[in-house]
Amino acid sequence: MHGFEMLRARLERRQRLLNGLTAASWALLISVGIAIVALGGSALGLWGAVPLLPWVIAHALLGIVGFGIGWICPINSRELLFRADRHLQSHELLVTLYELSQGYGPAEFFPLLERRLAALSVTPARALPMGSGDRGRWAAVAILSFFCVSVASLVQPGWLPTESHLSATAPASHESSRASPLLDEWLQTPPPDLAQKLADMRERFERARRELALNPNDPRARAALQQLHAELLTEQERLAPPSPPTDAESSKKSSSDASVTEGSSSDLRPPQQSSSGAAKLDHIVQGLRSILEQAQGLSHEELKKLLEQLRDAPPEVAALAEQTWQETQIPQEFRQRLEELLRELEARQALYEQLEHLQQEIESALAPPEPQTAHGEEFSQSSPNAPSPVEEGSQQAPSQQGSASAETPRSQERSEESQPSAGAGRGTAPLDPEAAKDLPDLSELRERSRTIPVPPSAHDQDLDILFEIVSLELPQDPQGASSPTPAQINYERVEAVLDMLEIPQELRDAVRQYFLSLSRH
Amino acid sequence: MITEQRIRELQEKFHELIAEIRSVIIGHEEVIKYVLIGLLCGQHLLLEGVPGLGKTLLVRTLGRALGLKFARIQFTPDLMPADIIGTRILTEDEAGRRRFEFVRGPIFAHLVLADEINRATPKTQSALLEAMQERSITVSGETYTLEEPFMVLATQNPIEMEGTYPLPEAQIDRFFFKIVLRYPSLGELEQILQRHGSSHELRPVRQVLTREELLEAQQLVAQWPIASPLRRYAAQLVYATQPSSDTAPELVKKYVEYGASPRAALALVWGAKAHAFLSGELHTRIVDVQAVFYPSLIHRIIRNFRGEAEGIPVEQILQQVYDQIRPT
Repeated sequence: MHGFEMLRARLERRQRLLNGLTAASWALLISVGIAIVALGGSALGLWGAVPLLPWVIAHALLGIVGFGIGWICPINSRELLFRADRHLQSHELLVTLYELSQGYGPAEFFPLLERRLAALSVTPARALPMGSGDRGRWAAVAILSFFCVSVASLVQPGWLPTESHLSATAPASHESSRASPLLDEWLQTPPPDLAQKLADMRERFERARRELALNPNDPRARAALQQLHAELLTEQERLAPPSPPTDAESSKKSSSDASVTEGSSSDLRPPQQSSSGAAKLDHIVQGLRSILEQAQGLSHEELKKLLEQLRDAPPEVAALAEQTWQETQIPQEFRQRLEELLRELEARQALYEQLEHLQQEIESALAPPEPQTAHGEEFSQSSPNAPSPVEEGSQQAPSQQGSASAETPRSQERSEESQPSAGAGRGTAPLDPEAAKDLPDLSELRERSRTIPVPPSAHDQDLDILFEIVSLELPQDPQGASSPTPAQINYERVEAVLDMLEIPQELRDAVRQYFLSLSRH
Repeated sequence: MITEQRIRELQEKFHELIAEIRSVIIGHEEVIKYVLIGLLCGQHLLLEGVPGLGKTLLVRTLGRALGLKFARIQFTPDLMPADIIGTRILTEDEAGRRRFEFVRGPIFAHLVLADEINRATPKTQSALLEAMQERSITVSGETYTLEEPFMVLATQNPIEMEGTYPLPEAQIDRFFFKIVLRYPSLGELEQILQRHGSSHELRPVRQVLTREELLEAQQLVAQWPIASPLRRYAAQLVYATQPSSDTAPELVKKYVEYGASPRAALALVWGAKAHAFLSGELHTRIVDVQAVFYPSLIHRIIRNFRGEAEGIPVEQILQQVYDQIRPT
């Protein structure tokens, strides 16, 4: 082979390399660009976490494919050598030699020119350097890749998982990433001074209640209590874990909104979220505690398997566990973080319960004032510092119940408080014995309700409120049937509560009948 | 068989020829080079310059250095074609018989200097140009072939236009190059005075090249290698002078009526080959094409009325073409 032919072959190889690099740079530039968009979207929460290892493999494959396509692209030798001539400043010697070798022009000149080629030290890299466009593109690819890795490190700290992890946890990670923004927001808004706020609220409540004791119709005190009630609801909402809105829930919410507007005392109605929020908090705490117990002594792989099995767990629990694992990746640290999380959630739970208790007290205090015949005397006898009706009732109940309070559920206590007995605490008037005959047995009702499996948090609490209202608002004067009795007023509220609260379907008619009979008397 | 040694010998002889001419002609290096290119290509040249710049001296020196037959024709309005070509005259031999004999005119030389060609009538100009093109003359049905090498160097004075017959565009196109002689610089003028100031006699010129060697060199240049990208470049340059072409620069589109003919492209390629030969190379380069760009095209661009009215020089138009078209 001639010297020129060897040089030509080397230059062609070099050109194929450059073509391959050009094609690869384009492919990588586009794919890295897409990766950045994907990561950006992931960072903004538009979609789930990007599995980066497959991305990296895809980039590499794309680059190799691009390189291969560039390599096999046909080469125009004449143009290639003409370009090489210009880079070498060899005054078109290579392209002339090529054409002479191809039979264009007198062949006698070929050896003459080839001898000149020897004097020209030609290296492929000098003859065909990488173009500025290619260099710029590769620089862009490098910069974008670095940017990509940086963003990935920020957005997805454990961005280099193993294959098995990726294949197994892909749906779970997607699930958690869907739930995590809401949970993040919830966890990042801790109640900083809620304890202090709670104490302030209680103080305001006591003040308002004292004013109400002096004048049950004091509008200022009632407004203050209502304001306090609204604040309590807000705080409860903040404490309760968020739930992703679903169609079912939104429709439910709208219907509840409608009932609220219809109800006469919508601001007093215990929000459904309060009970469900407590339940949710409890669920999360229980779920995390269960995970923590199971995670004791587990290795890295076992922990990952455990997290993979959490797909059936509540989404908030799975999301929190997955997020904690993503942040730590070390079993020991994972357990510590989980314990910290549990402590914080338990603190939230305690605060939530306090808020709930205060809320119940406010609702009791805000109940419509009773007729002067019964109430006025009692209030006139009691001192301003006398305990509130709720407290009083709770203090007096055991003495009146005696040994009948063997069962201790709150609902039972309250129903027993509402039994007709003269001067039975709370300032409630005794029931008319005649009217009581027609009433269904409330204890039987309770027993029936206890046998039906319902969610404890919702059912018990709502029934408690219901029975409390009933015990407070029994009709005082059967003669005054022409004017709306407290039972009638409260019946409307109870009616709304019945629609809202989770009283078992089978019992609703019985409860309704009970209150209807009350209203008749 | 072409050998590098022979090529080198011929190139060396031409370098000696250049040196010999420069021993007589002060300055005009470019002109000497272009004249030799025309000679190597066997083509005719148009020299333009004011009187007294050494046009005649140049051609005469060239003829002597080549050992070729040299003829000078001073064109005047009353010059007839027969004065150039020759004529048949009645002669009587020793036996007393009379017959017509063709007396060859000055065109039957190797180098013909047609001085102030634009002063002759178009009829006489056409006779010369036809001989230049055909390289043969037909008189009374008899054809006479002009001996190779044959080269006409026509001159014209650009300042005295009164009583002249400017060459039509079609005739001008037959000239390979148009070489514009510039006025010598002060230093060159001093050298001219120093060298020729003492005597009217010209310095004797040594013959450095034989007629056969010149013909061999012409054949060598004709087959001088040139790569196709260079041919494409030459074509692109010429094509860009056409106002209707998509690569034409703005000045061409605005001020040019007719661009260069395909003959211009041939002149570019042939001239580039000869330039490469004179440069001591063994193949044609882009710089060779660029070197002969102006003399090849300058007389082939015909400006439109607007271009002439605004006085846009053809050189300016060509400069834009040269700058815009790059070899690809």
